[in-house]
Amino acid sequence: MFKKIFGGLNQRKVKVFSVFLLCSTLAWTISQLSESYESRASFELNFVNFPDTLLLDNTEKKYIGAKLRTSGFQFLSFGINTKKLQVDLSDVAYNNEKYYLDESVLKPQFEQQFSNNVSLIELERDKLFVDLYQVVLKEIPIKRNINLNLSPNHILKGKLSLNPKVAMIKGPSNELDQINSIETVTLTLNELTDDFSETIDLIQPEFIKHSQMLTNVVTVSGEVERFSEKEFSLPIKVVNEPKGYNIQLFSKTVTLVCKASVVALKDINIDDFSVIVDGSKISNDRKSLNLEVQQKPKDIYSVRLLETKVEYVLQKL
Amino acid sequence: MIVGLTGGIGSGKSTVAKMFQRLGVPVYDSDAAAKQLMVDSKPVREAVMELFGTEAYSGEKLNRTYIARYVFEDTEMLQKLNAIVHPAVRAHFIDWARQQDNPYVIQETALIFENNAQTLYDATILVTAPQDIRIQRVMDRDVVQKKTVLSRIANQLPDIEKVDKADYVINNIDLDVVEKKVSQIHSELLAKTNPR
Repeated sequence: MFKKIFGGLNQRKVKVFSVFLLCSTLAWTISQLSESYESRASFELNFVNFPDTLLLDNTEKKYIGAKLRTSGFQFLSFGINTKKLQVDLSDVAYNNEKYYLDESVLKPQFEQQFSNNVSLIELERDKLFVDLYQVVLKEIPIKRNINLNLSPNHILKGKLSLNPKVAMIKGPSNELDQINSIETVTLTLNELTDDFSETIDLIQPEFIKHSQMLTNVVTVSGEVERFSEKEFSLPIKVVNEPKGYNIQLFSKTVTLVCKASVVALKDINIDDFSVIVDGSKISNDRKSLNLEVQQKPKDIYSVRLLETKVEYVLQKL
Repeated sequence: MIVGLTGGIGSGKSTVAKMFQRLGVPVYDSDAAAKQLMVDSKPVREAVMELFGTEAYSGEKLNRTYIARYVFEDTEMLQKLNAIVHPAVRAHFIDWARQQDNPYVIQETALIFENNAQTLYDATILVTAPQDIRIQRVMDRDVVQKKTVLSRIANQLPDIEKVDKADYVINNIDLDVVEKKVSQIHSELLAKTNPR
């Protein structure tokens, strides 16, 4: 019996009939799908533009149904791929301890997201309730984890700069109260010879469950300059010499080593420094006077005297 | 030709070594190699553990703080550690030097004259700086106290004893001056390796 039916299908007339049947079905389907219909479709909601003081409590996917007028093709595509609609929460309303958006607010938002051939007739609800909760914004100090290894004779000019200086976190105050600092991932820079600027991630504390970090990266930058040292042999000046006496120093000069950037050192000369001993500090039990750097240039890292004291003899004039 | 570059802590050996490198001279950093060998070389690792105990390593890493605490305060331990590490570094350096294609190579090492090792080199360069300056440099660089620097300096010969033994002396204060001196030494060493 079956053999007879399958045998019959192989006949040429049956084949031609099947092709025509398929073509006509396709043509009918296309013409039907091209028509406009009114029907319902469901859309996934994606919330955006949260007010600074609110966060979404429930992270489960939310959907909304809507009655639309559009082509059959469009309905078919909605059926195959669930379209996502963005819900702008900047105009969210609050009443009876609930946050919601009215249909009058939602409809224009959705209409903007549909193509011209889709008209939104109505939403399944006249109010869309959103599970939001009150949060606070808090500035948390950033704790940087940076290993800087400068090349020999290179120095960091000034301090490392962090931008931003604090991390902004939004969340319930009881959770934010537990956060004292936000750490960066570890950044290691070796053999540094030039200025640098690196963007590094901030690590979200593990215990944060209901808070949202608004700052996720920080830029660390610094200026690096090459430094050198230079020796200067300076005459020692005597100040506050006792009346009627002359202070004889042994020796009359002192070596001073100045540390500054290579560029700055080129312009620094002996006249930029002065080293003194204070005659008013003379006493019978002291054989030497302390050397003090009285004057030095501004843009230097340090000065160091190779001798810190000088012996003296008091001579009566 | 093998040249030894040495100097006390904070004298600025690395600065001078970098200047030679910029002139195209291969430089072997013995300190870095020693640290590497203490981790990578099985015989060195075993000998270090035998000397300091298993706490000398935290997992695969060398416990530098633990070892430093011993060696900077106990000269005998330092000598024992050197007896393990120095031969290994020397062997590693010789292998490295054989692979270089330059008229001369430099081995940067903290202790040459202290170990009477100057005979191992064809020439020696000593980097010096006033002790006060060296102390300040190390305090700035390593963020350590003066007494820590002084205890490290105590394990090295004073510059005055090394100056006579060195073939070249570089007083490392002003970089411009040092660069000129390095360039001069470089020319002299090249002339020695390629006499007319």
